[in-house]
Amino acid sequence: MMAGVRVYVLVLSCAACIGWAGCSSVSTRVAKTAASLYTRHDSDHTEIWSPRANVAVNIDERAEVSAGYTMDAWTSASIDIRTSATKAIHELRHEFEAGTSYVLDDLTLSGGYRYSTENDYWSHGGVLGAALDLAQRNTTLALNVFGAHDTVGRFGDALFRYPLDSLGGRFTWTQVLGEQSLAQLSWETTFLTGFQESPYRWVAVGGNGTCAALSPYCLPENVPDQRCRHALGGRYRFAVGERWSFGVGYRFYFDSWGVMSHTIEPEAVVNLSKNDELSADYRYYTQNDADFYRARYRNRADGGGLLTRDRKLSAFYSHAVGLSYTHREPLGGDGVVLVVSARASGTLYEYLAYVGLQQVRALELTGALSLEVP
Amino acid sequence: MPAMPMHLVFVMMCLAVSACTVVQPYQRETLSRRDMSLDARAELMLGEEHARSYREGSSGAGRVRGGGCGCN
Repeated sequence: MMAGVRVYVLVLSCAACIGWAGCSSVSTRVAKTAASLYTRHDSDHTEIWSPRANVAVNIDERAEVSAGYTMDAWTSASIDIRTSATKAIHELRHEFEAGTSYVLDDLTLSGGYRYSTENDYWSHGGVLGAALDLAQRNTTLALNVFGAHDTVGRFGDALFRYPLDSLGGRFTWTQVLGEQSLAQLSWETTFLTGFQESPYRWVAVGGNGTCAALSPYCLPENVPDQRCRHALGGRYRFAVGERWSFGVGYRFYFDSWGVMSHTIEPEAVVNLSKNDELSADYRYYTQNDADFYRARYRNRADGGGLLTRDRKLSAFYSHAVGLSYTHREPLGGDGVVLVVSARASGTLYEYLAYVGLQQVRALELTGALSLEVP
Repeated sequence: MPAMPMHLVFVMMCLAVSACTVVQPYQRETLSRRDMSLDARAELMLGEEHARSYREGSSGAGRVRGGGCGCN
């Protein structure tokens, strides 16, 4: 509870900074400042509070730079932690990011860097992108290349440091289909190499499948060092009349560990007035398990020498529904707009083969304030 | 997963693009509405998508960004 109060105070501080930046924005050419607070509570005894603030500044008509900060404060006594017979965990993660973009007629170049730190994980990441408008801006082709260098540590063990590197690319094709519809196709591939286990996760071999009970062996998690991930996505959006629009997205994913997933996301938006917008969305997600995942390992060779008790690698599906509301309030005659947004969503996870956990229900709430300067 | 030859993908893209109507700037009143953006509410969804990326065995072709441990 105290963590929640502290986060609330931090968000108010961020909002004050944003207010100051917004007030001085006309002279300093601030294009947008924003602050948000996200919180998640689930039936698996995990709670997350995550404030975020960012600012974007126009250097001139073509160039923009941005900077942001995100914090994750989370508390958990999830099944992973309970079955490892450890106490509830409290952790903080800080993320700093900076980005820039430059417009060259029909070509937009962009780049970004982010650094994330917590007591047992450090991550440096970068992205370079190019987007090209074609056919009188009816077609946009975009390519992003991204990479990250992470260091995985273990709390209380200064000698435990293992690298995890990733490199990937994403190609996106956005196409206007008519006066009231557009679509987007995307393809993303990421290659990861390094330490991909959890340093805290132990796997029971024999017994009932959990380390909290009597098992002949309880061994550290062991997964392949390399993983190649592929995702294909498509989105379609169309307007009906002057107030309504609908969208649907589909995503297919597969990787070298044998995980395959499908995601379907329909959405409806209604413009309640010129300045008020309400949207409702649904998301269905389903995945199979990794080739080497077993709910219960009978012996050490059961998964081909690989062991995991990561629920992300088990078979499950989820249903999520969300409701978002946005209000835009013009401030004065300079075109400055205050945007107030709120979102609530609920998710139901159904695990098909995970010992000790069959269902998780999660409630997520997000509130955001931003100032947009023309 | 059978690999699709890249030249076939390129030909399909060209055919698809050529089949689309070119919408002129003055015809974009509806397309320029905020609710018609494919990335509408992206900022509002960041927290959810970040948390989700650590609860699902798949990621990519979405809007997720940011790093960090898969612990929360």
